[in-house]
Amino acid sequence: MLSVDLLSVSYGAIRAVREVSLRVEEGEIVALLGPNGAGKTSLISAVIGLVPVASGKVMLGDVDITRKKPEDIVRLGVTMTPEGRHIFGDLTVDENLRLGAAVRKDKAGVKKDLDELLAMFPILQERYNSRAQTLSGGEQQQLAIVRAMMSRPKLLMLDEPSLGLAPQLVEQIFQLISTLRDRGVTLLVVEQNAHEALLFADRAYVLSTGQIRFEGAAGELAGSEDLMAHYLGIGAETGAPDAADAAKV
Amino acid sequence: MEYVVQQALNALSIGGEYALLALGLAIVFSVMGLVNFAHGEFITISGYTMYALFIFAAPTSAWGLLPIGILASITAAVVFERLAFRPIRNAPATTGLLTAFGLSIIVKNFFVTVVATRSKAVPTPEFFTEMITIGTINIQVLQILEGAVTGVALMLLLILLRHTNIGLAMRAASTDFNTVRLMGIRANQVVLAAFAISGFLAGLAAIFIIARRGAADPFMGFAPVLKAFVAAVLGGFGSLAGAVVGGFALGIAEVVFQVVLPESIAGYRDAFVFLFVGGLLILRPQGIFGQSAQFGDKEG
Ligand SMILES: Nc1ncnc2c1ncn2[C@@H]1O[C@H](COP(=O)(O)OP(=O)(O)OP(=O)(O)O)[C@@H](O)[C@H]1O
Ligand SMILES: [Mg+2]
Repeated sequence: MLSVDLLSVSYGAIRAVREVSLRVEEGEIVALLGPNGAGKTSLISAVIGLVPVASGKVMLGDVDITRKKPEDIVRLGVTMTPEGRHIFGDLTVDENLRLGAAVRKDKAGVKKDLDELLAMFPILQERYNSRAQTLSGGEQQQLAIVRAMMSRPKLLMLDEPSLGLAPQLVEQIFQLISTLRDRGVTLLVVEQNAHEALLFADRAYVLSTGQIRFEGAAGELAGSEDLMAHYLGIGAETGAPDAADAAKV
Repeated sequence: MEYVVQQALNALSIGGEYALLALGLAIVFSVMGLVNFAHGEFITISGYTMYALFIFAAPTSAWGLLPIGILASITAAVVFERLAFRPIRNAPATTGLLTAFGLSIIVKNFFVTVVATRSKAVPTPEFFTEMITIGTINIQVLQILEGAVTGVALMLLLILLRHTNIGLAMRAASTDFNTVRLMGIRANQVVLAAFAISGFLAGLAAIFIIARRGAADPFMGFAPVLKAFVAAVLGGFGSLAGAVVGGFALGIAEVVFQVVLPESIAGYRDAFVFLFVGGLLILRPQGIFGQSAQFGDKEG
């Protein structure tokens, strides 16, 4: 479905993504892991057209979407929930979701999807007319995901959906993500929460300093203490993402 | 009684004019962070278009000039956006500011050179200056119209902002334009809509300004838009509700000072008004509706 070929992203002299290639097949959940500053956000932002592609190629099926505008890429069926949620705080839950469906013409279908998604995320039903900024962090994350789903994407890219959530909520969010797959969505999930993400993903890529360091089955990565420690700095005993923290200092 | 009602209406119509202009400034600023110093030129262009039509097409009724005046202002806004502001959309804010200044100077000098520095008479419908009597009170039609038109325009805008996708997108874009694009909404359309609305509101204000002065001149947009800036800042720059409230507050303040100042210093009315606004801003620097910068409001 998505194939990224030797993609590079630069911010001035900073080469955030260096000749990365990856593929996401239809119906898969693919995890994109890596420490802070690895280039994960830059990679998917380049895929969706929010940051410029320095070199390389991005294909959606057999459509070349390299250097297309984000609004055009979204109309082709790819969307993304940005890191840090970016819900529209001044707008109500209802208005956020209406914007999510802005590109769709099938009113009946929108209504049906809305009802189904609100049934899956009942808290949003409860807070339907509240301003989005009054929602809790977990609720805002759910809103961001449902808003993205309202455009009926074929491919949904989630940038750190578990960021800032309590551990029980993290699991809940991942459970919800895997139910999205049942709705026919292909998922590319950026995460630092490697353990959790690998439970739900089919395949995984590990990115570090802009380059792919590992690619393979999620189980292979999760099952290997060596790989986890080496690429993600995760000790099997603590399970703490200390490399990720260390990278920030 | 009559005096009080008339002054109240006066405040309402002046305030309405400022509100229309301030709202136009605020919409463009909130969507694309541009302080449009060329906003006054929409009024000027509107005035000269009506003048040109009056001279060359010699319409039998002045009513026909009004929609053309509004259309001219919208067109000017859209053309400015397309030709001048779009190419620099991602440039630093000062680039936008300077571009707007440049445009403003070009337009003024165009009219000075091509037409004249002196003002040119532009007719508006005589109906505007008629007086109507309600009970014992005489009121000029123009004043009532101004209040009513402002009210209707604000209502329409409110409906647009709440119930249409482009309206929702404009509100959302004020804090997070990139995420609006992730909804598949075209950035160009959102910005264009903001400019078109800003031009429309300026066109309405232009009609009333021209009706009061009866003429167009190259600098006619300057004073009203200066006041509108003050109104927008008073309300909280970028806040749409703030622009409206700031506009009416400024209109009321002007009329109140006009009434209470002794005749010998009444000429300094504006100085007193600005002093008053300055005082308010010391107490509340972010303006009436402005939010002080909050932790985590915007990333980067
Ligand atoms: N807009 C920008 N301008 C300049 N440098 C940037 C910009 N965005 C990211 N970078 C740099 O590019 C590199 C990759 O950043 P990116 O945000 O893609 O990493 P990430 O893997 O998403 O990290 P995190 O897990 O912290 O979100 C970092 O070195 C970062 O400082
Ligand atoms: Mg990131």
